[in-house]
Amino acid sequence: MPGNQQGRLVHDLEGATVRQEWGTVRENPIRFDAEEAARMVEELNAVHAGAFNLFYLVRKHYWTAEGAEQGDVAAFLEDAYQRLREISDAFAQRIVELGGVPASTPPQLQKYSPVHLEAENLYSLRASLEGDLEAYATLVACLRDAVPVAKETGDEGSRELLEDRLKELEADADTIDDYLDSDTLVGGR
Amino acid sequence: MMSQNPDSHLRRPPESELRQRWDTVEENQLRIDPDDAAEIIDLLNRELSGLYILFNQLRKHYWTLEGAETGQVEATLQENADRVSELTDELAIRAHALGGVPVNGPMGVRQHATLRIETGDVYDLRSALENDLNAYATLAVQFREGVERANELGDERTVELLRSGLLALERDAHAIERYLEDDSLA
Repeated sequence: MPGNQQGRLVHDLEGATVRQEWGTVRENPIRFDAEEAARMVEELNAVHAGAFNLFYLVRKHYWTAEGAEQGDVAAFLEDAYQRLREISDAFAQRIVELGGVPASTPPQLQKYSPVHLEAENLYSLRASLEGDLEAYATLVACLRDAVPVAKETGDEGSRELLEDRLKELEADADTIDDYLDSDTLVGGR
Repeated sequence: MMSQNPDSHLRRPPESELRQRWDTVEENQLRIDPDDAAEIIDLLNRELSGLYILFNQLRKHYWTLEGAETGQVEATLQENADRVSELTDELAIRAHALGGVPVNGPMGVRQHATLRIETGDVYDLRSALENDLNAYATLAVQFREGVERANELGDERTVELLRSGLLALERDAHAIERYLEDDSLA
């Protein structure tokens, strides 16, 4: 939550047992060195949180495109936001496999995410897509930065995941770039 | 890797690209009275805030599941999250068509919130599922109120969306309830 470190909405679950605290890394089932795992978890939380935020940006713009009757763009954005959810899910699940805890509260996500959310007004579709393109570039850079760390730590599983998802993100960024170059885009509400 | 104060980092396109400010209502093309539309947008935004929190709570729970026999629980939570996501799109697009700005970020979620967000710690599965069930129960009450009010205001399309959403929420809550009745659940 912006300007709200703990976030008034965030609360302890009463009567529940904590299985694992946020910020800790425990012995992982794949027997990966604990220190290396902790380093990788840090990197992957940035990727996960970045995809999490980009999901919300793209979905908001899907609504905008739908409202502006930009059918093609809307259909693409709908697919793209679903891919982003899968990406955020995949990295969150990888973090758990490594013995870590994925960021889940708004303050944690905003702390880790390299991708910034948009002010909560509605903007023209063109300005919205320009922001998306920039955000994709930021997220792609974040994944690229994590690849050498995966290589150094010998974490093949994370490396493969990063490389696969990089291709997907680059393809979607290209499509947005094409929309921005074309004349079909009107300034939707 | 980490950004600083999130507040100052919100992306703000130039004013010339602004189409509508958060928390404002514009005329709609649906011939619904503007005051009525404003009230319906408000109730849709309340549902959207709740769905936002439930969606991410379900995701947190399927991300962090572990142990035997959790495969099925994981699949159920994922399917439930899919439905919450579809429902969110439908209600957001409706709020927009009515001339409103749908809840689309943390400020809007907080402004309309009727649910709270779990801390980032990982809890035991039974407590997590109980919290999901509570969230579903709160949302079901809200949706019923929404159906009633939209009906009084004569917005049939919104009534229809909320009714089918309510059915889906009730069905999905029941699927979670069945796991909780199972004693073997850790």
